[in-house]
Amino acid sequence: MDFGMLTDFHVRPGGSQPEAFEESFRQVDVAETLGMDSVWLGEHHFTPDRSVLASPLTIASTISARTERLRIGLAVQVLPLGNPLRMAEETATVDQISKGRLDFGIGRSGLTRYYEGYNVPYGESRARFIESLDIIMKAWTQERFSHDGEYHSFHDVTVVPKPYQRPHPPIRVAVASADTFALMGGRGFPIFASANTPVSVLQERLSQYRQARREAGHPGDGDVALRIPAYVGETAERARSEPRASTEHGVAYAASELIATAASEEVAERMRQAAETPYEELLKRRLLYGTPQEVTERLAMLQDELGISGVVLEMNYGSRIPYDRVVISVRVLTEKVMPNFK
Amino acid sequence: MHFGTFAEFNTRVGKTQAQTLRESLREVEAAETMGMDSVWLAEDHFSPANTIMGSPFTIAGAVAARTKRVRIGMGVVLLPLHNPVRVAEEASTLDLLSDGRLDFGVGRSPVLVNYRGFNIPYDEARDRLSEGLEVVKKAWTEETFSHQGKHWSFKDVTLVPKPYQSPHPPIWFAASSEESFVQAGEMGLPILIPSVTGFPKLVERVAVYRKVRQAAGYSEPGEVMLRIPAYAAETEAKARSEPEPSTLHKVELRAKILLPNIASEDVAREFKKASEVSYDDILRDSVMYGTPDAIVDRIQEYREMLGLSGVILETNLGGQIPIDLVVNSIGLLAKKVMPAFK
Repeated sequence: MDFGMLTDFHVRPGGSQPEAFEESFRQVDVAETLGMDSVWLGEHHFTPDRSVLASPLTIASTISARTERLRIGLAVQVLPLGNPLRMAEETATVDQISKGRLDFGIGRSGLTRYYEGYNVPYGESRARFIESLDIIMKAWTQERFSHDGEYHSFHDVTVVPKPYQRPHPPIRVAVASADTFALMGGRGFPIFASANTPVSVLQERLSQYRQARREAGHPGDGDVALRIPAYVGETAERARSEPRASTEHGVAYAASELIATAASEEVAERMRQAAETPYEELLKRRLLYGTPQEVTERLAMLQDELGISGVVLEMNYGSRIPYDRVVISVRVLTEKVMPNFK
Repeated sequence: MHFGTFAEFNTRVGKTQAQTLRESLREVEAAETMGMDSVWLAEDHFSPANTIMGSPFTIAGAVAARTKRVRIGMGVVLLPLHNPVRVAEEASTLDLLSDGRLDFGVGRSPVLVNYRGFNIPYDEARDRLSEGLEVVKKAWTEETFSHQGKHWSFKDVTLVPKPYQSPHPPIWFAASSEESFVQAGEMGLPILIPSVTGFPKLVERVAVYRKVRQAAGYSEPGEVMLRIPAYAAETEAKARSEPEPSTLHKVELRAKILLPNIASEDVAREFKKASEVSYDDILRDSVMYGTPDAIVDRIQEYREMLGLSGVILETNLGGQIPIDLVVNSIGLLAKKVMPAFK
């Protein structure tokens, strides 16, 4: 199983933007040193109290230069907001700088605020997503290509450089709504799923994903990475109490800030429900918090129930867990949990 | 006087894009190690025979991680091709990644391949440049901004992150055609000028720039930095012979790739002239290849002629000079030329 760490370049209360960068880079260095398989970068715009991660590919390039081993993933690049030609150049450049360590995670994002800022209608997001992906694939793999589409037209263009990985970096798509599981299964893409979706619902959707894959003739069982908050403590009590304040803040923030700008009613409803769910219940259903043994067992269960091939762990959910504690949690995770899955 | 180097990431003949990237990054690191003041990165798209530098911000992300001291210049961002909010985010990010070492150069580029590729009419370039720059400045300096323009509209956008430098990174304007000198003068921006324009013309145009600048109410004369190929060696003979094949390669590239794609007739004439000259003409008129003492004299001459505040040295014109020789030359330039001007 692939063990990845989500790094969101969050801004701490009262903290400056330079401090947000510094802490996140230190956390990436820790992931490299302690042997995590990958780090994953989100993309956030126009939200000063949340994150400074507006240019994930620029940051991915910096991480490429600071590390030797870690894979560097985007979780996810919001495709409809960028120029696909430019994203093809940027991703290929990062792939070259990192000698083939880029994982290109892509999605639409469920937050309309980003689209409003960029002045792109959210209603176009799906069509733009699909068109942009087609363009990027062509730009990466064809010596010279043309594209005449609804939103973009390019004629006889040779994108330079080409990616280091051939034919191109792995693509992984974030899916949330019911119909996209089947859609992306049909196209044969690996996916991200979120632990915000209840396990029973995820099981149903993943079976649709796998069925669509099979029907389209893609070999194997697909590739699913689960995004989930995680915290490993030395005792059961500490593993629950130490991240509690941050987690409750994260859930409340999602409920108050994100619902206002969430495009999907289903997602908004889930956030509302989460905000009303007692912490004890969240621990059982949506969080991977516990001793190494508890986390190992829980992860084995998720692997069994969902057939996941990797995890993208939010090691500082809510962004308020003290930095040193996050580092200890990552250390214990890599020493005592990860080996059970390798 | 400011001493920078210019890295174009020119494609190495017979080598992979990965090798080109690595050699180019070594040149950048040499500039840091030897004590140069800055490294400048160009932006050029869709010409695999010429350069792999399609994503200068992405490359700059790696440069920021590998250096501690040199300023990182964009020489220049082709702002008319890009969404200015996107560029503002990337530039702020880079400024933070480098602890405030970004110099933000903008320009149009006279090379039509860039515009054809991005499917943007060249006759909009000038307008798009000034509108784009207006948006970038607002986004950097205003907590929340709106913009209603000819090419872009944004409403109530809070750019995150903000730049590290306050109020924002220095802005430079690239000028080669006469109208660009006028535009830069009107805006009161410092300019970057290329030696390939030819010195009689540069003298005239810098005078125009200063006159327009003064008329627009800017009291300082305005900073001017000259971009010029430079190669230093221990003997005159080596300084002449070692960069010759690479220089002639550049001349050929200009004739084959750039010349058919130049927007302004005026600039095209300059490129044409530059592609028809002999190596002796080049040595005399548009590059500084020589012993450190000879180069000191040349810079002294140009400084007086143009009132320069700095030079940006193209240390591997054409990209084919063997890397060890380039590093040696950068060392001589930094240790034996630069001190004469400090």
